[in-house]
Amino acid sequence: MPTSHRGTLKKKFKIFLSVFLLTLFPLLLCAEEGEFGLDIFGGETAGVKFEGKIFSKLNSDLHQDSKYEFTEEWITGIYLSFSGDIKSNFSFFSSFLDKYYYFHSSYNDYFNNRFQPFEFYVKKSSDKWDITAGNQIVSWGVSDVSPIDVVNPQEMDEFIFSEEDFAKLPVLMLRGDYYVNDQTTIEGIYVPFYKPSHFVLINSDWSILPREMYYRTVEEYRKEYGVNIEESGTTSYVTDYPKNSPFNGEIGFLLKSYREGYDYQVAIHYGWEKMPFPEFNPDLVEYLKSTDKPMDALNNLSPLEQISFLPMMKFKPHRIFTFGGGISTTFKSVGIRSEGALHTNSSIYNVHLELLHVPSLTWNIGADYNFPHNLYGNILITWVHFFTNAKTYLFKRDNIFTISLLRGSYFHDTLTLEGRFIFALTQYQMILSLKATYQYSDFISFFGSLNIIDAEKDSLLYQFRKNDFLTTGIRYSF
Amino acid sequence: MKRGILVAVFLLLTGGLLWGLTGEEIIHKVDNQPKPKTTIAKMKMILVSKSGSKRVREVVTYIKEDKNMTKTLMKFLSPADIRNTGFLIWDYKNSDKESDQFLYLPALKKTRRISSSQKNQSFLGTDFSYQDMEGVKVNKATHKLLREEKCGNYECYVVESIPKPGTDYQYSKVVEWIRKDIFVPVKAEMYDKKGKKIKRLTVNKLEKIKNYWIMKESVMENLKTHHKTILTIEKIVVDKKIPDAYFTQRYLEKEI
Repeated sequence: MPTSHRGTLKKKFKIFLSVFLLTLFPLLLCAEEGEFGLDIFGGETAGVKFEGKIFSKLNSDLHQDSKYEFTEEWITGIYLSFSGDIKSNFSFFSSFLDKYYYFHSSYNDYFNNRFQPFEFYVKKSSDKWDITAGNQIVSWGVSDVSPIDVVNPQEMDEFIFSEEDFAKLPVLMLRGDYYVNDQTTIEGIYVPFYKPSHFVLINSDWSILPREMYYRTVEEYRKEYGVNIEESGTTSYVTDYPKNSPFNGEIGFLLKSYREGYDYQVAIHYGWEKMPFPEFNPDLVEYLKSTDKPMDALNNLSPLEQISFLPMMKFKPHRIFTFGGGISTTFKSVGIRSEGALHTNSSIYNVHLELLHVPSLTWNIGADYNFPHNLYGNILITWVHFFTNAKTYLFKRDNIFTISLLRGSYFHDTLTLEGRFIFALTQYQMILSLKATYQYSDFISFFGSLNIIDAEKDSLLYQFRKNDFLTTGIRYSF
Repeated sequence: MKRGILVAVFLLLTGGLLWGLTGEEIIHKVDNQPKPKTTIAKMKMILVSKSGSKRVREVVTYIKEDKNMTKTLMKFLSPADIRNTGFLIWDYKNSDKESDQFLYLPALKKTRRISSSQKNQSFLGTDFSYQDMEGVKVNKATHKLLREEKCGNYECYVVESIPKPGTDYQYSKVVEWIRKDIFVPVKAEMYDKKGKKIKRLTVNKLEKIKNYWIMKESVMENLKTHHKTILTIEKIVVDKKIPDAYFTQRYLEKEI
C-alpha cells in the first residue's frame, strides 16, 4: 500500500467503534440463544486457542537480466492467532502477520518489515443468524478463481506466488449471515473504509514500476543534473483514495443455496476497485497520442521530460458494481463449476495509455477429477470481455486463459508433487509452476518450486517475463 | 460412500460360521448387527512408517443415518496446518445418485463441492482406502467358510470373500477372522488382483456400547511397505440426537 494511505488508523478505529456500538451491539443483544456448538465431548472448543505458522523461503532468480534485478529474495513470515468463546454463542478471533523481506541485487539491497493485524473479529450466533464484526476475510463464489469474489483486496507483493493462506487481505467489515433453512443462506456485508490491494511500486521484481526503468532514470538524473531524485523525495505518482465516510463504504449481498446435487450462488456488490490501474498524467497522454509508438515513447522519456510530466501517474480507484453468480455440481465423478459476472467500470488502457472505464463480462467453466494413484486434476477456462470499441493495450477486448493443475500425493501424503500451468490463448502469456512439498513431521514441511514466466510484448505479464525463479523454503505450523 | 465411514470401520463385512451355518449366512449375521442411528466420535489416526516415525491425525466425526441418506461431517483437529478442515458427505441410500461431498479449506475460507475420490485411493493418507472404510455390500461377493481356529483368546471362523464378477473392488479376495460368540470380525487380510497378500487389519480392542460392538482400536498394515495406521476411537457417543443443521455448510465451516 502506498504510504500516503497509511495512518489515520486511530481515527478509523474510533469510527468503527461508533458504528459497532450504534448498530451492531443492539443486534447482538437481540440475537436468540440456541444450542448449535460442535463441542460434544467438552474440551474441544473450550478456552483460548493459540495457533501459529512460521515460514521462510528464498526465491533465487534463474538468470540475472540486469544489475537492477533482485537475484535473491528472502521472505519470512510469522502468523499467530488467538480465538475462543467469550460466552455461549459469542466468540472472538484475532491474529497478526509479520513479514520480513530481504532482497539482494548487485545494484542495491532492500530490507523491509511489514507488520499487519490480520483477522480480528467478534462473532455472535443464533439458530438463524451469525453476525460478525471486525477485520475479516470472506470467500464468495463456487469457482476456483471467482469473478464474484470481490470483497477482499489481494496481497500482490509476490504477484500470484504469495502464500495461499495470506493471498487475501482482511478488511474491516460488518457481516450478517441469515440461514433461511438448511440449504439456503443470505449474507450481507458492509465495508466502511476503502482498502486497496497491497502492491509494491518500485522495490520488488513484482513492482508496478519496472525497477530497471526507475533506477536507470535515477542514475541518469544524478549523472546529468547531479541531483539524487530518490533523496529529494520527488515522486512520480500520487494516490487519490476515497475519503473515509459512511457513504464511501462498500455493500454486498450473497445468496447461496444447494439442493438436488447443485450449488448456486448469486452476488451483488457495490464497491471500489481494489487494484487501481495507474492513470497517466493527462499532459503525458496528450504527448503520447502524438507519437507513433506510445509505449516506446514512454520508456524513452528523458529525465527532463519526466519531470515536466510529474506526477506521472495517479492511483484513483473507481466505483464498480458487480453482479454475478455461479453453479457447481458433479457428473459421473467429475466436478463441474461455472461462474459469470458483469462488472461496471473495469479499467483498461487504450493504445495511447489513456485509462478507460468500461463494463466487462467474465465467465469461466472448470472441471476436476480424481484419477487413480492419488492423482488430482483440475482445469479452468476463463473468458473476459471488455465492452469497448477502442484499440486496447495490455488486455484485448476478448481475453481467454486457462489454468490447469495436476497434483499427486505419495508415501501417505508425505510427498506432494504439483504442476500448475496458466496459459493465455488470446495473447501469448504463460506461467509454469512446479512444486514439491515434503512433510517432514506433523509440524514441519519443506518445499521447493520452479516458476517460469513468459509473455509477448504489450501483454500484462511482459514486464515480469524475466522473473523465472527457484524457491526453497520451510514451513512450521503449531 | 455407501455407508457411514465410522460404522463401516466398526463392522467390516465378512462371513462366519456358526455350527451348521454357511459362509453366506454368517456374513449376513455380521451385516445385521445393530448399528447406531447417530455416532459422534473423536478418532486418532497414527501413521507409523517402516522406520518407526509417527504422524498423528485427529478427527471428530458426526454420522447420522436417515431413512434415505447417511450424513457424515468430519472435522480435523490436528495436525495444526489442517485444523478445521472439514468434509461433509451426503450419501444417498437405495439410489444410484452420486453422493454430495463438500470440502472446507480454512486457509482459503472456502467450501467447495468435490468429486468422489477413487475408491482405492488412500483415505487421508492412511493405510485405509476409501473402500476399506466403506466396505463392500454383502451381496456383491461370495463368502466361503475356510476353517475354524483360535484367534487370541477367542474361537473364530475364517471366511473368504471373493467379489462377484463385474464388482468394482480393489481386492481379489478378503479373508476374515470372525469371533464366534459375537459375530464381529477381529482380523482381516486383503489380497491384490495378483493374489498377493497386501494388507492386514487387526482389531486390538473391542467394546460394547449400548447394543453396539465398537472397534476402539484397530491397526491396518501395508504388508508391502510395512507402513501401518493405528486407528483409535478416543471418545464416542451413540444414538445422541444430532440436529440436521449439523450436516450443513454452516457447520462445515464452523471452527472447532
